[in-house]
Amino acid sequence: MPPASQRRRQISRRALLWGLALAVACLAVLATGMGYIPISPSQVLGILGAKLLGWEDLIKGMEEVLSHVVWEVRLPRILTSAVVGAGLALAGVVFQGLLLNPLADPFTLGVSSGAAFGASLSLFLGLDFLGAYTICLLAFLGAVATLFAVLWLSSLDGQHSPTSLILSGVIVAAILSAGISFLKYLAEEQVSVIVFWLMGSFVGRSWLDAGFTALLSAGGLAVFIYHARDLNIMCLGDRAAGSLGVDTRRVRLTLLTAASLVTAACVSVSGIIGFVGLLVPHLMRFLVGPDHRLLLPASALAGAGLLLSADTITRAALPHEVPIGVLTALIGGPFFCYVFRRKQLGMRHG
Amino acid sequence: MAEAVFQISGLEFAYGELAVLDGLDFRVEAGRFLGVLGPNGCGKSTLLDLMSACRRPRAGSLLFMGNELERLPRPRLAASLALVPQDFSLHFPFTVREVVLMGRHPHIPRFASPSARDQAAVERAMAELEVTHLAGKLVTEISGGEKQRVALARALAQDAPVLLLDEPTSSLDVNHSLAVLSNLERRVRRAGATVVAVMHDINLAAAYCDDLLLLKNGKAHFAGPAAQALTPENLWEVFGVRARVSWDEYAGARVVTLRKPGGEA
Repeated sequence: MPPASQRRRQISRRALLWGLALAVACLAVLATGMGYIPISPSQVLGILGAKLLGWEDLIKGMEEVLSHVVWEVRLPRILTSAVVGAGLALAGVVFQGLLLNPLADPFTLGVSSGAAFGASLSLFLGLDFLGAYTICLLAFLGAVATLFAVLWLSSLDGQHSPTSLILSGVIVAAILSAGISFLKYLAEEQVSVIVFWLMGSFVGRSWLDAGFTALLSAGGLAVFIYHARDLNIMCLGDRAAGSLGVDTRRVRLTLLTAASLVTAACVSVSGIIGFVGLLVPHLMRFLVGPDHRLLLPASALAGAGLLLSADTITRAALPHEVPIGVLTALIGGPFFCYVFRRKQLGMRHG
Repeated sequence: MAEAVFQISGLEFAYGELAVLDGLDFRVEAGRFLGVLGPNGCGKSTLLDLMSACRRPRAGSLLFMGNELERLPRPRLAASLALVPQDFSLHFPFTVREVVLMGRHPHIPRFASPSARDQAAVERAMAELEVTHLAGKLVTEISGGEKQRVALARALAQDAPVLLLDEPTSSLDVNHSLAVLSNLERRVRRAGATVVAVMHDINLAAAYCDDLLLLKNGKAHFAGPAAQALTPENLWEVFGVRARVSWDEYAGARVVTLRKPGGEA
């Protein structure tokens, strides 16, 4: 009977999400313990209990420095990386669903390049009216400006077809990349700062970074979940979706804007981190299916787990810290080639 | 006179400078099977886009059940009007059952699960289109003809009294073409449904349609009962083909026999 099997499937779906959430939480605790000063998971949990719930007994007799390392140094960075991973994965799911293109990701629309250009400009000009957050602000503005430029370029009668969006995104991204190269050329000795920022990193991230990205990602998640079923229906194409009562124009604009804002927030605190937005949605679609009501939360959790693990590897396991953007591209790229190739072969034989 | 399902007058549409519909007038009566025929590029699909509110006309009026189509809220329209566009490709690996269930979208509140009634409508639609055996398969992995039947099942599950179909049998083999059109005919006769279908096969149109709209140069060359629409003169004027139209006892329908260009009379 359909209703019974439906119910069973929903329970197992919920179990899967809880399992993923638990796994991410465990990874975060383990990761917090790893580093130059090793701290056991029970000590980490003790410090968390003391800080969050005020149970000071838990850290009685513990060295002061441990609590400082956990709370002030490692946790903000780990949470920022987890939130950025979740945000990029979410944006990837939404862009792929909206553009009906499994290869779309936050880069496809040029949004990441816009953020990179904004950041490069701020580094080149040496702007610091907001201190360290000047880069964030300019990256954010760059991303948002790029989004509107791409939307304007691709609009026809107020409609944005998936193909014209992707083409406009690629064109704008190409122009911005040239702009970044030009800035690097002009920058002379400043060039290494720009190059390093573009490679992406979570070094020295603060609670403010974590909070800012978390706020925007959570807002994005709420908007995405609200429209999850509309996204499913829009996979049928605009005409069929429209005839099923979905206002495709409004939904597309809402979701594009929300996903771009989430991307902008992520890129502005972390630099360019590729492949998370491409890889995670693919993997999760393979594991849980294409239904966005499940795909969105599952991808957010998997993205968080993936990026926090990757960041912990570069921070604690490798002898020298490799920029996280480089690491994700080096591991994610070949893996994606493998997935893509298998899919191609599957298509031919299937 | 009874209220028409569609009352269309002076309808105009253009892609940029290219006029596609240029002062189109016709009406669709309730409980009829209307076929739209015309040469390629005459604006058949555009007409369906306008009738389903996917596009807005440049000029003219489009009344749906007496209301201005543009003013109707989309969800309300979805409860009474289903559309199967020509492009029914799907890019993500949903199962056939999931896709047919999407047809219930207008009936399921945003965060609710499908009710037993929704499930029943899905099973019924799949059975009618003979895709029940594909229910668990991925739509990315079935054939073109199967996809088209799934798209039709999706529209039937929508339970809308008016169906707009763009070449509903274009990818189907003969047996499924006849089965699908007979199913639609039954809905019109027994359930009082109204069907507007763009047709590419003149003989299938002759066999199933009550009324025909012959489109030429963005205008209605003829709109009315199929028996009066299918004449050698009309076929010559609209398609530029020589044809003989006769009643065929065996087919149980009017049959159009086309002459090869250059053939002897």
